[in-house]
Amino acid sequence: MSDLRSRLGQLRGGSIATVPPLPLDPAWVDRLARLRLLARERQGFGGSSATPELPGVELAAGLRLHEVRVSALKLRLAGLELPAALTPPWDAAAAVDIENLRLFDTETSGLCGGAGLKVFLLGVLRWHDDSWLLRQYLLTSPTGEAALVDAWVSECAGEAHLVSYNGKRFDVPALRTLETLHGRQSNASALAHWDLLYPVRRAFRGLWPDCRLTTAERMLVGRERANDLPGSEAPRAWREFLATGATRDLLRVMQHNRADLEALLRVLKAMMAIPQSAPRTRIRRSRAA
Amino acid sequence: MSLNAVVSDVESEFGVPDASAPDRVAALVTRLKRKYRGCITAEAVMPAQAGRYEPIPDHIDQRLRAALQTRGIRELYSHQAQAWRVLHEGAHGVISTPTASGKTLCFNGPVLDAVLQHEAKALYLFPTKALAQDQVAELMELNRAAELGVRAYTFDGDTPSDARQAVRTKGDIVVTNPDMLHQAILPHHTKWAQFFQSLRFIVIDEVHSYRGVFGAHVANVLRRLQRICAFYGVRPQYICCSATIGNPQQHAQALTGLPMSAITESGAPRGASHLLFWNPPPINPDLGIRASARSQVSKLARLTLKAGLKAIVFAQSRLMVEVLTKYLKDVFDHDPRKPARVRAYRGGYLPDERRLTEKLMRQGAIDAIVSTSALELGVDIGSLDVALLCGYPGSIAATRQRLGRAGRRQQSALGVMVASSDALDQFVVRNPAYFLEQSPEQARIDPDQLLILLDHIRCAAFELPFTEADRYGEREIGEFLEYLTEEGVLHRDGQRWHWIDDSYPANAINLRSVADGNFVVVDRTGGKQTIIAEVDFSSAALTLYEGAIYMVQSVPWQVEKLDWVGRKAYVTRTHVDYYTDAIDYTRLKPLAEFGQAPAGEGAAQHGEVHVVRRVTGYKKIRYYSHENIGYGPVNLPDQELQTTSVWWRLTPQAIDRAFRTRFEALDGFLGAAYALHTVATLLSMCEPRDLGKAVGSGDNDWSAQVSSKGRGELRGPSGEVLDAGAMAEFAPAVYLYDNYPGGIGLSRPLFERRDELIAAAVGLVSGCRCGSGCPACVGPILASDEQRSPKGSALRVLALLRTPADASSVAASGVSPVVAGLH
Repeated sequence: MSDLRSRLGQLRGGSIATVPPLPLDPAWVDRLARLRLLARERQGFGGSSATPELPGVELAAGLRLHEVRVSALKLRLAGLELPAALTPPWDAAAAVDIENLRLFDTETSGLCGGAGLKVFLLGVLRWHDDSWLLRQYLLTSPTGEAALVDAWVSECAGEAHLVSYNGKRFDVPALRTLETLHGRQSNASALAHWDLLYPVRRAFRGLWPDCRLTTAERMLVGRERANDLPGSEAPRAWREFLATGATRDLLRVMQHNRADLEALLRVLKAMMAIPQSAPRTRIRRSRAA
Repeated sequence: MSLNAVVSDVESEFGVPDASAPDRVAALVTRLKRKYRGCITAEAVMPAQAGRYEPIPDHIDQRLRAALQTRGIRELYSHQAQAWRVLHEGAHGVISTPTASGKTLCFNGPVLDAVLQHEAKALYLFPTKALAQDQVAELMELNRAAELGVRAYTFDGDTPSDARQAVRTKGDIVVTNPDMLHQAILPHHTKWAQFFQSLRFIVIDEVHSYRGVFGAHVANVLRRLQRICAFYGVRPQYICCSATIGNPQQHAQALTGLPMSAITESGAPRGASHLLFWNPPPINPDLGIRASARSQVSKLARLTLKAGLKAIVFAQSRLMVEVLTKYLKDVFDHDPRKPARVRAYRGGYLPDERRLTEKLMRQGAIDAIVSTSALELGVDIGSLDVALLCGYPGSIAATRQRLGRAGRRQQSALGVMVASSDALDQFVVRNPAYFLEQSPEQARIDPDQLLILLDHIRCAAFELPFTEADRYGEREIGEFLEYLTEEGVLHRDGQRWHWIDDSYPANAINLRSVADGNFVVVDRTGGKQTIIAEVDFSSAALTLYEGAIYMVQSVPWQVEKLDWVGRKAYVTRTHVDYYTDAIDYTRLKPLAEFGQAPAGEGAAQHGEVHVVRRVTGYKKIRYYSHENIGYGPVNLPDQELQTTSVWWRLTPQAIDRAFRTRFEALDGFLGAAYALHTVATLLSMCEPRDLGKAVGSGDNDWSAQVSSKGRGELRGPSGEVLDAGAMAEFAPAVYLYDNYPGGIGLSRPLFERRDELIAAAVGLVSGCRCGSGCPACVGPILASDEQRSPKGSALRVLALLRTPADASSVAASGVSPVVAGLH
């Protein structure tokens, strides 16, 4: 092993310029360590609790399920009730039963696509027994991948109606890749699917700096997220967890995923009130009103 | 070879052969032999061969039979029938028959049959996009002829993204290149699941072009392809096609890792062909200086065109293509109102430019085409009468391939191999038997080259997790997987290694070049910015330095600014009467020793070295007179390379004893390096550029090269000129190295055959008829240097490296034909 490493190191050294590591001043190392400690304390994590336990139960080897209920009362207070049957402006012929909605979002090991992309967190939000039920399937080891695919297949069963943000181009193809790799097949591609990115784009392209979910959340419902782990940090957090078992950032990814699903629900609610054919100036006024 | 060609073969069997052109070729040959007797060192005539035919097999689909009949194909050539049999029996096959022998039908027939009868799918791999597009055009014609309903699509970088879905799900035959397979298909194999599940045939054309580094990459891409096929539960049959090489079967097996049946006897009819070996007349026999190959080829091309025949001219470099094109255009295209009769063709031109030239050639609108090796492959350019080779292409296989470009079916053809004054060329032209009797070179690959292997294991791990029981090719790879785990890109989970990195590894790996990033040439004449060419990384330093004259269709542009990091060269249109040629030198330092053996009074060693190549400046050379009219400095980053090498050294004492001055010794080492490089090229059957040579101190203190004044000179680490006489200890070494990062397996056999190599070099130098050295033995020397004898010095160095015992053992064991030919 060390032989292979040193051979490779030699070969590499010859053809690729390597940057030597910056020499660290010992005084700085101390200061940095103290700063880190301070920051941790401020966030409420002691030095020892850097690896708090993961929530939920183990569903299969390598897969955990975390379930949370958000009661109807809480939703009413937040102004987030939806009618029992939905007919949004972009799909005027539909009358979708609220029980069938599956709001979903995934976190992945990267953005590049292809067979090597891992989906390590699948969040699904659905209306069940008069409350919103959030289910987060977390891959704690790649072994659990087949079980995660099974979970996705069963979430898509029946009359399910998908709701996502850019799920048509990203999440569904990524999950379909996994289905093929594990010889399963969900009916996700046959299901009706409201990908809210498209109605949002139709209505607001050119008026907003961009049409990302966080932007839509800010512009439509005036919500800013605090202390949100950027989505781009998710792959690192998962790799770190696999390598060291550190759960702190992985929990923040779960928070982020949950925040994204709640944002998706808010955007869905807001978009129900925005006519797709309306002139853009009117949309702006109606939002201001 | 196009299907059309097969058809016209068959048609001409039944039709009236065109009788006028053969007379003109024969007349030209007669005329050349009468007028230039002194230049022709040998002539070979390959007589016409009648076709051997077999019936189309009974079991084929009736629709296909009808389609073939509408195209006039009622019988098969014997090798086509043989290919059909091999595949019918379920074996893998490699077909190696000459240019224009109907290889295409060998695979199209069985594949179309399987598509029609069993809804099978096939994947075709061609080395270039152009060849792939030709192939699909041909399949579509056949398809239309009988409305077969077979869907054949190209899948390459030009395929629009909205069409890709249709190619993946609807294509019966998908035609692509190894690069697309590597970067777009395999990493996204799940999107191709349907295709893979029905995949029955994999066709790999031009397998001889997959050698060296590119070949090692492709072999690994095919290993990955096999993993994917196994995942989808299929075992497709392989059909490989090759130009004539020495080891088609073994090479196809090395490339695919599968046993192959070889089909090498062509049943296609062939017109007679004449081959002339042409040595330009001597100008100064003592110095071994001859008229240039360039001037001779230019003359021969003029004679060809004036005789009303069509010619293809092969030049050794892109620069030479431009120079020759200019000379021919000066004669034939001086009237700008008429369409051009002469065109250039080479890598680096934009695809549209190349397609246009190919089309004009097929239409017969061009009388002469000047090309690099780019036209060695099967790009369809129609038929030509005469092939002129400006210089020996470096291998028998490439020479045959180039000569094969001339020859219309049923008509005679002429090929002329014009030797330059290089040692290899002179050897071949003076020993025509070498060419005529030796079998062509063997294509070699080393799929287990460490860096290449690691690159592809990365990609394979991305495509499917590895399990503990998995092998890759024939190899256990646990160690590699552990290495990648430590690097953090893989995660081990019980029995499996999973890809967990956020990168897409295939994007970082280019199959064709080791260092990534092509340069684009941007024309800024008149304020606009237009891309006029693309240059690969390895030749950028030699062609795009600031001040260089860069030519496209022999129109000169001058490089004004080179953005090395941004990979751009900015040029403007210029009008000058010169071209430029880079001056470069090489430094070398051993890093590790794998083997050592005594060699005379010194030692031979084999190991790993670090090579630095630097372009220091360029020469301006005037057209026609070829005088040197100036120099310019170049300031570019060094090109570094770590590779394997074989080298020889003598003790400082032995050198000081044998030579009066160190300059003499230096001459001797440079001459010995030159001769060793020539014989090593022949012994290892590689192309000269695959093997580098250098003379240096071995500890990176200095390196030696022949200066622009024709004398040996020493340069220190920063390029300063050093004085050999003033050094405390003077111990040069001669290096031959694999000219690729990590090596490609040339050095080790050379080390093992070191005695034979030294003996052959002694034979080459002592057997040369020149006075004190010439380009055919120890390299060119200048007239003013005749009192020195680099030849004598080189012989002395070689004699010191020769173990007395080996002289007798070589004589006793009988030397190889190559070495015998050198004596």
